[in-house]
Amino acid sequence: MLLSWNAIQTPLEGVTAAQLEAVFGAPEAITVEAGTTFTLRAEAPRTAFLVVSGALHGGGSELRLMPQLAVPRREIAGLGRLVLAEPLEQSFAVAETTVLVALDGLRLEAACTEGDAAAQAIFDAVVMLLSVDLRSSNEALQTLLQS
Amino acid sequence: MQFNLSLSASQLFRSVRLFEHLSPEELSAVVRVAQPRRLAAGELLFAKSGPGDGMFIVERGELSVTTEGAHGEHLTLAYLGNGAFVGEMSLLDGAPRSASVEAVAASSGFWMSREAFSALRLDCPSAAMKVLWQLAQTLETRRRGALSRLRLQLAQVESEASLGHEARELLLPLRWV
Repeated sequence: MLLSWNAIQTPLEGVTAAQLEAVFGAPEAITVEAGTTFTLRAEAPRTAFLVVSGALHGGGSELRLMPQLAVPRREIAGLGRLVLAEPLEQSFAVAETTVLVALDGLRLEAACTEGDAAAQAIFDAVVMLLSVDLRSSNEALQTLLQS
Repeated sequence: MQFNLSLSASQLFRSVRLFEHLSPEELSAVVRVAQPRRLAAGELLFAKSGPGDGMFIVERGELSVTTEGAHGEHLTLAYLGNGAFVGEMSLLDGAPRSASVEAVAASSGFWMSREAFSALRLDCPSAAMKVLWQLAQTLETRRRGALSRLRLQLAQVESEASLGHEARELLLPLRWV
């Protein structure tokens, strides 16, 4: 089912629906049923997924300790895949029916290299999120090491 | 004189990993926005928490990257020699410096300001985007490394109760994937 970027929220600050449409095309809904798992696949290492509704829950020590951590609505699972291939698979539990939209990092890179202004605006927004995240990760690490 | 300067800059820039995917024309465009700069021994290039206003490419000499430890002690994180570059993330995000950099010995190199790099995005967008893309990949590699270290650290924590409140607040907004 095709959606409209106008009706979708993203964490990409300052990026318009028209810019998303120009780079990624019309958004196609991927519906994941409650009680199943969703996997970021190794064979598509440059694809990230925007959570349109619902949420994805992962595993690992961080989620064992803080079960409220998840990829909620309007966040992007595998955000870093938009700029760098992630060769590992990662699976998420889906507690409620969740709608996702795939974002193709290869398409973003190709459009950026061609000088496409919409792609550059998306790239800048992605980089800002990654940059804030790196600083927060380093701060959290320092706090944990000092505690 | 200007010709010799440009020639030396081109040779230096060609050897820097950050610019390895640039065509000769794109490299020339990058060299044009870089300013030669000399540093005396002991001179500060930029201070920790200062504005992220540009990057420096070392042509000759030696620079140290330093910060303060948890108890205010002076920590040297790295020494930078010929062909190294520092402060490059400021071209991406302009965020405050995470460490101080100063010349250990008399040094020379090229300063590329954030402002000049913005001009490059208009004058030669393909060159700017290749550099920015390379920087974004470095950023993501570092982010993944930081998250891996955080996971290892968290694996040693037994319960949420033993996580400090401050740590929990910091962990909540993180993107773990």
